[in-house]
Amino acid sequence: MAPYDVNLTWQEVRDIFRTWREEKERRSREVVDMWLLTLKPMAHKLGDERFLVLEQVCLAALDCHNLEVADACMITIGRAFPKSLRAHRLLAMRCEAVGDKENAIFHLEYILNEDKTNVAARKRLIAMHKSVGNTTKAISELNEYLKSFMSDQEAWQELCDLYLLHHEFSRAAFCMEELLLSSPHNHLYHERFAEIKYTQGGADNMELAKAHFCQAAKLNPNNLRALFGVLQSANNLAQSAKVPSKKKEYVKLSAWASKHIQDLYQVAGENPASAIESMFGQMQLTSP
Amino acid sequence: MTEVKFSPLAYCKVILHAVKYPHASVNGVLLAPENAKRDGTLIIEDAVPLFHMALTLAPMAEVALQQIDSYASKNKLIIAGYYEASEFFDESDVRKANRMSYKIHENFPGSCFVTLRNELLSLEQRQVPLYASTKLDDSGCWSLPGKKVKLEKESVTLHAASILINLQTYDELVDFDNHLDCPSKDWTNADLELTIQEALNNPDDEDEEDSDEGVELANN
Repeated sequence: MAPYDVNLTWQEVRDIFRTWREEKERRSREVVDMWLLTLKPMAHKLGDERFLVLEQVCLAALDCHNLEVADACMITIGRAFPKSLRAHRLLAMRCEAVGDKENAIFHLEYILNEDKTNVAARKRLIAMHKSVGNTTKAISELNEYLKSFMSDQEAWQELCDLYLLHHEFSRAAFCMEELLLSSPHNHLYHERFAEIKYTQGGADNMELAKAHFCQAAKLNPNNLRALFGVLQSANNLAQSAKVPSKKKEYVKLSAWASKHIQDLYQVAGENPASAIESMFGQMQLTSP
Repeated sequence: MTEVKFSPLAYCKVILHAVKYPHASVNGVLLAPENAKRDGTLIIEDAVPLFHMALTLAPMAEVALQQIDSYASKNKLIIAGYYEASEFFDESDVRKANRMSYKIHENFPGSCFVTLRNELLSLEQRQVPLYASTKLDDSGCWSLPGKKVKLEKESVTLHAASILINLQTYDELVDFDNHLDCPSKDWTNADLELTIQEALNNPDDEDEEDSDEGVELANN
């Protein structure tokens, strides 16, 4: 029942791990399974990548609460880099994994004493607030962090998610605006920003949502969420439009989106009839 | 408060959805037969897993509800509830319940709001970790914590759910987010339903798969 091919060679596994490291994918179960099954016996052939892989496996093992594998990796890394703060962070995360908050904080504060700009340790401290469910504290600490490190995209994304948890949509939208400033060609950012604006509701927000959904669809014509977003926002705007020419424009846009969605479903092999007929349904969740 | 009873299919789908994304909050809707009454026991026949990212955003939720509404009426079902499993083990911040749950309640006042208690969820299922609320309090919010959900054929279902988790069947579950990423994936989970039925009908065969080989080797 493994989701990956168990007949992969060790080189293929090594390449997959490299891709997942670059794309920051969280595939912890698969990493641990593939490491134990295929890559570990050939670890000595990894060359320069060896410690990167060990770190990746260690983090994946902590995620799966496989302390045996995590400890084995940490010992190997620790022996090779005895004074490394990067290795020390793993020790702090191991404490977190077993629920030992005091020692985790102790290790992270030690790292910050040695190096005040150590971003990883600061982020881990914020993550610890989130892990105990104290999202309010995580939000305030993250805001403080972003005052010094305002180009950290990962942090803005995390802050956006935290605001969304609390239904603070205007603040979440602000986070997405920061991300759009730094990456205006990212279709996913446009789409997420549009979804937040749509959720806030109101004519202006709906217009903005429609514009950003359109931009997302332009940047990636296969983004089904963006196309649905165009359809939903155009329908909403058409319903409340007072000027007939504007209404016509929205209806045309809605029809365009509807056609492209049908095309995508046809390529996928899904029967589009059920999707289309329900598209003009009545349920709306935004405030009037 | 009315009682809420889950069918084995609905239960397995909810649990598998939660286990598939242990690091994220997940949510979905619950379906009941169209003649479901407002009082008495609410039987949840099926569940549709929805999202594991940004649960509070409206546009995709509306698209999903429209498609599910259409699917439900074709199958003589109604949207009768909402479930959510939080990413947090301990939640010290009180958060507002998802708007979708109130919208569903507007359309069907007998609907339920089901939460999963993370501390009761385990790989070997021994008890039902789902709690349901069917009433709103004076301020219009769900009256929590709610009552433990009843389960049809409880011990067989719990055993089947444990087997499915062990076999990592949750990787086959498709939620609406998966469908939006890849439209060929079926959010009704028709194939998964067959796998779940098999686990329910043959609870011992799953264990015997390995032990049969053992017997053969011994005989040789």
